Amino acid sequence: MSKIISTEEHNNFVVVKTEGYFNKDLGELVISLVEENVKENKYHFILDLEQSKIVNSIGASILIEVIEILQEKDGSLSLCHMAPIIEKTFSIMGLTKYCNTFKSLEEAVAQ
Amino acid sequence: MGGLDYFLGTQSVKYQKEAISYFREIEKSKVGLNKFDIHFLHEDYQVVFYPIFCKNETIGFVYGNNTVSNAQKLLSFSSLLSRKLAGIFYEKRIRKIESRASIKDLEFESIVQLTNMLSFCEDLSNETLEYILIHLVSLYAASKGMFILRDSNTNIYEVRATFEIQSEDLPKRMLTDNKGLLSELKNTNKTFLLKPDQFNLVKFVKQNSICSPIYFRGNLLGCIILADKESRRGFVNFSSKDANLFDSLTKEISLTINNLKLIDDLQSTNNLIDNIMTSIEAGIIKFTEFGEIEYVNKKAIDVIGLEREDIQNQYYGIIFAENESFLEVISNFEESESANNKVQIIKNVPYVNSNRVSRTLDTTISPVFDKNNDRSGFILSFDDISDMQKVKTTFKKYVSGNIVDEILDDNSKTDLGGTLTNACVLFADIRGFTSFSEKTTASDLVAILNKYFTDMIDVVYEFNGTLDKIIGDELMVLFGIPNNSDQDCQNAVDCGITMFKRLDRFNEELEKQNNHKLRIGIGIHFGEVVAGNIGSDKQMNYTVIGDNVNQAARFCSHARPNEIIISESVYDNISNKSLFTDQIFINVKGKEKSIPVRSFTHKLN
Repeated sequence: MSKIISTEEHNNFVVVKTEGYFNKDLGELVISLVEENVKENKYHFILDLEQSKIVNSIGASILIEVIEILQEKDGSLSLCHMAPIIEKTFSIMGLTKYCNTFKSLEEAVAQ
Repeated sequence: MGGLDYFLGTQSVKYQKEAISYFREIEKSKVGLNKFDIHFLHEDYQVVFYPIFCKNETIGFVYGNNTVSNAQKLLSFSSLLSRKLAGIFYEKRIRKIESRASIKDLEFESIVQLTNMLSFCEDLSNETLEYILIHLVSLYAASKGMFILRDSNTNIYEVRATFEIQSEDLPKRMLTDNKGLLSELKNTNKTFLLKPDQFNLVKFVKQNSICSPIYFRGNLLGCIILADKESRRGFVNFSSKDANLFDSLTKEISLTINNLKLIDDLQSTNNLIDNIMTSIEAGIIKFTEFGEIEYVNKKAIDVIGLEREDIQNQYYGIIFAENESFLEVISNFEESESANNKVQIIKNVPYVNSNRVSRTLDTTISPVFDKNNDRSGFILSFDDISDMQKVKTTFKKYVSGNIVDEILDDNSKTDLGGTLTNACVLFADIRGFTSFSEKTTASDLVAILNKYFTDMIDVVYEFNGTLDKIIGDELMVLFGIPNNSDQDCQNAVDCGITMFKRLDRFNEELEKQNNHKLRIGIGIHFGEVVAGNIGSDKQMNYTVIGDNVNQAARFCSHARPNEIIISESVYDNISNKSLFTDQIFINVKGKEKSIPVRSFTHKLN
């Protein structure tokens, strides 16, 4: 089943690691988590998709909402460990234009 | 708002309830609100309305005291608000269109990816099917998916791949197409939109599902089920548009699966052929019409002595360049007119391979035709008879070559029993052997006898005789056994005369070594004998028996040194009659009457 497997803070970033199908359910878990953190004035997020190898359009559109929320706060969403198929999906959905993408979590944290 | 006496939907404004109800009435009257309409709500209190437009509809209004400064501000504000709302509305609309376009783009890209992936599929493994299923789930924003395929051996359907389906929701019973969803798919070959619980197989579905058959030439091979399409608001139904696209995609997948099945079948057939080809003892080489080697089996590789990849796709002239005889077999066949329809058999073809190992091959070469009956190449098969040749050579040291060939060519020849046939039997016996052996040492005696028998047996073979046995110092030779001819008697007589001549040379050597000379007498008779295997299952001799055999032996006993005694039956069948005496009569053991014979006496040079 899809889930958030961990949430950690590194270098002013909230690192969210997911597992499984990045669909509506997982997207909603992520957006809720972001909204909670925004209330605590945490606006910079890294989404580690190493354990999520598949995404659908609903999951991608929820991430667009996440980006909008963070942009209002001058925050950012970075993505790392994207499977090629996910990277392509995000690119087609126009999502990668508004967030940074990295191959590894280390690179994302060091940005 | 800078002391402006207007509000939109707040409780603090005067006459708000009245204003809203008045506004609703105007709306209901379908008169609508014009941009600059001034409406008086209360006779004591002049209120000015300015509508807020969006998409050419009034979606609200601003109102306030009808003073000059207020009216100007209200007008500016309502116009500004209308423009802003229009901006927001169009921005949202554009974003929605963009989003839809992105999703369509994503669908298109997914289809391209899926098609590409299908064209590169190499097998029908569960991993491949899972990959296809995940692509479809993602493409349709489905929540779950299942890929079912029929086992071609058992005809039972198996769940080969699933996505996000709990194990308890998987079918527990054997899946056949006799009833339920698979039966529907089998009978209709159509894509279905299914409600939850419509079939047992889709009990994991919460909203609805889409199910499409995988089939080939009208036969159901399996199906793909996608369940519970996601939206931002929760699950939604798959649409008929989804069904149409899914139908097209599963047709594409059907095609790929069928291709892979055909490739699998072809591979299995190839493996089967390869196993058969490997298991057979014959070497097989398939040539194309242009003389390229298309296939070699293991035996052929062993004989040729090269690796398969060094042989296949090479022109035969290169591979067999150093084996002229073998090369001739192929080139003669290619050049012959009979190459189109006849099988050519060439035996005892020598072959020396790249490791300098010599072989002897019996070859068969035949044309191969395609489905249009046009010649598409030829096949050369060969038996490596090198071992057989070794066996024959060794065997012939113990048994006459003629009998060896006969036995090896026909297994029934090793059965006990015999047949009645005509044969010419020759006995040759050393005269005075007992006294000779007494005067010679044992080792010299063996050496002399071996040389004597070697020379005599060579003569026997020269005249196509069959050495039946050596009995002490006596040779028993058959002519016409196993295969008779009208030259048997002539060969036997010529053989006997030549034996004397050869013995002369042998005696010269003996004299040089101060040994005593050997003298032989020969008896030859032609008549009916029983030829066959005599003995037991464990040990037998291929020989002849009968009165005529005994008679030949008696003639031999009667013959003096350097003399051949032949019967009338032999005499009648020879051409050099003048070498023999007139008929004489002799008495032989076991015969009451004297027997007419003729004799030949060898004159020493």
